[in-house]
Amino acid sequence: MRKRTRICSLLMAMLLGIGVLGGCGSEPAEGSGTPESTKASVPDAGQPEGNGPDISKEVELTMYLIGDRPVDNDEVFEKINARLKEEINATINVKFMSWGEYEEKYPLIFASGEEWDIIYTADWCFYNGQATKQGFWEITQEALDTYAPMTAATIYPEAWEQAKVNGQVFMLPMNYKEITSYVYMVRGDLMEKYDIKSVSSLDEAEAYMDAIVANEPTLIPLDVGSDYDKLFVFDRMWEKANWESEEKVAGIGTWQAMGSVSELDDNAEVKGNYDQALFQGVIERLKDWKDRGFWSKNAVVNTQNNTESFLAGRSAMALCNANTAKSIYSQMSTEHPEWKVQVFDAQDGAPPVLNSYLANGMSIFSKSKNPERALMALDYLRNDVEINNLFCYGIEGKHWEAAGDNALVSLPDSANYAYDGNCNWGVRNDANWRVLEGGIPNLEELNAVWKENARSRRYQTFVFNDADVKNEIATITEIFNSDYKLLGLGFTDDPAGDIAKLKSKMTTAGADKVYAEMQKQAQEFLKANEN
Amino acid sequence: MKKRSHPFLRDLKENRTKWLMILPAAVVVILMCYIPMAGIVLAFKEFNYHGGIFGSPWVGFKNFEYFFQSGKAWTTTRNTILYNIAFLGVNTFLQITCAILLSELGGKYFKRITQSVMFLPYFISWVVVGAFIYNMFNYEFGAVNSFLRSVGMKPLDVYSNKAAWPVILIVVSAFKNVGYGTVMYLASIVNIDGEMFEAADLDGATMWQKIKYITLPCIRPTVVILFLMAIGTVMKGDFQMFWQVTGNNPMVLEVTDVIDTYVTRSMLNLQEFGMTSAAGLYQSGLSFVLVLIANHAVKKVEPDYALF
Repeated sequence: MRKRTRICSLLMAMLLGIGVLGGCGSEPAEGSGTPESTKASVPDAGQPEGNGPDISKEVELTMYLIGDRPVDNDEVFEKINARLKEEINATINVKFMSWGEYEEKYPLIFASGEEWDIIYTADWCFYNGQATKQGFWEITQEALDTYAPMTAATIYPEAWEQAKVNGQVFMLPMNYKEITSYVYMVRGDLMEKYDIKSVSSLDEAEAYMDAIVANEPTLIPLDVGSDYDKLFVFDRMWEKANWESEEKVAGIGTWQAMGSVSELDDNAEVKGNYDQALFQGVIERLKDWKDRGFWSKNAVVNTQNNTESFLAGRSAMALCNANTAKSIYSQMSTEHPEWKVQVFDAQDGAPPVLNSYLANGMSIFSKSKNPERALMALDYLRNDVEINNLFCYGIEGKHWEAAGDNALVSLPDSANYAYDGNCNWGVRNDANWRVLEGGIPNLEELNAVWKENARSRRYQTFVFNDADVKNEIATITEIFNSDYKLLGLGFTDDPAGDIAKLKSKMTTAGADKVYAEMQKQAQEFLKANEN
Repeated sequence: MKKRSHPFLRDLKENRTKWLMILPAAVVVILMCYIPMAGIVLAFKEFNYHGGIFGSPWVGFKNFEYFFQSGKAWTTTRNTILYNIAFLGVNTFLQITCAILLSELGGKYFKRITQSVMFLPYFISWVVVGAFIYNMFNYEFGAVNSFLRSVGMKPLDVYSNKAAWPVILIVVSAFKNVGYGTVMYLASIVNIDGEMFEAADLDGATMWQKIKYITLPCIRPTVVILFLMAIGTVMKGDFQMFWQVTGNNPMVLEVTDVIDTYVTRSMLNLQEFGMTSAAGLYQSGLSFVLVLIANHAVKKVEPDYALF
């Protein structure tokens, strides 16, 4: 009996050993020997037939987009694929990851071993992180010239420069100048009821929300707090305060690092936001707003963003960027005409940001089986008028029809393929762009003001390389997602005390080291860019 | 192989049915536990997608620095251990109490129904429990607060109250797990030889005396084994429960963050596979040590019941 148990355990130990060895032994074969070889991914231009690249083998490319699959997506891509098949002997199969899960799913598909080729990316959507982890295929100048000649000829040189991470390009940024500005979407019926004339500044928004709190107990005035919009109100107040101040403080580097710098300071001294003079005033106002019930006392566990709540009729106001407002305005006015939704400028004097080109772009997976063909496909998606229009607006005559050379009108079927709504932002191209006519009635006016005021920030294109301070950044990110988020939503009983607490936590986490490193890189950035 | 084969092979032949019976379990354990264990190397690497798990460069113990530098190692370890000890104590106590009560109660149908109703929560997903808790304690529209308002009392702000969460978590853990354990203890009470109770009745023992001198000593082996199995998971927070019930609420993280939720959250926020694996490995290491210690202790007191 005893002996048998011993044999048993021996066997288990043996199996265990084999298991571990097996695990160690079999996998490296796949990825071994090439940890450094991405750098060598210069395209092999050796086998072009005649004068173009070899496209004799038919391939199906898989492209990941963020969002939900539009109803008519397959129909649109059938048409795109027909063209692509003819031009480059390739077709595209589109996969989607929804907004609710993209933060989790995005990094995972890189690690999962799944086969895919093209993905949407952006500076706010994992571009730097995945590029430094060798998640993307490097797009060299030679590759661009060989496989994407149309792009090579039309890409804005500054866009190409911005896309560089440690000197290498991993993304084709959009070829489109975009402004990000924020708007309030407000219930017109409630404005009339409580005699509110306009909601286009923080003070007016405050008055409106006061009226809601006092008279509409079933509505939350502004249902912020999800991961997506937890800092929206803070941002509005913070930007306004800084813009009106002497120093013109602006954010720098990864936003989780909470660093900011005075744009007038050529020495680029980086400080934590909590160390800036105006921070406490902003937090006090947020606390006041929270205490008055402008957002839920459970805001920190919100999982829905404020536009969703507004759409569902649970809140009286939404704060979002103009693009989001554009895409939901028509839906709201058809579903709830009685709400008389109105859109107001939420910039409140602070200039809107002229986006970096990296705000949208497309990249190729480093383990793609056909990176060259993927690049060729991207070339057509960006530059071929027919394909680009199909992707951006859907089928002409079904989803939209032209209105002059640079505009279009949406047709009723666009409910199944919304204008500029299928995560096509990475291939937006000024050369092929058409603006949407109709929609928000005062959009023209708003746009005119924004265009006039828009500016790019001094450190807009500055990219912080965190290689030397990774551990610190990791800890700081944790603080950003807890303590800083709480302050940003006004959850504090003692603003001065909690700011001091945040500061001491940040110091322990090594913030000084991070900011010193950031300052060093910012100085290099200024030297390289402004002389 | 012809005449004197190896004793192990002979055993394999003689007891092939038994070997066949443990085969599925062994295969599952090897596939699901031992082979993935090779991924531990990730804790010592700076992960990149191109190299994958085995091809990425080594960085030694750098990944561990982050976990300890963040100051979270201590809070999360403390929370994990304290919560699990509380769950273990409270749940075991309630489970044994309920089992004894049920066994003493008459009425076959009443007993069956009670048992099933208690067992039911075990099958409810934590996601549902989390939504349930939110709808109860939500400040504006929660059931509890609506009730308090309607009787003219001040509503409770549960989601920013740190003291409330340990209680809530212990209660929901009991809500979900007591029924399951009760059935296990009930089974072992039913197995106690009825003659002992009859003899005790003849000697004039009261119900309390019977429980104290017969029932409790007889179910001791079950208690010890269940306890030992639970010790192995003391370092492992019930991830689903902490994640879903607290809604990952930053206001109360200090008292609700356990190693598992911390690892998941950092993974989602940072996409640093190496750092999070390091935290995971730290947890497994501690778990392993705890099991060894607990087993050793049991061996001293009750050598027959030790696991190994």
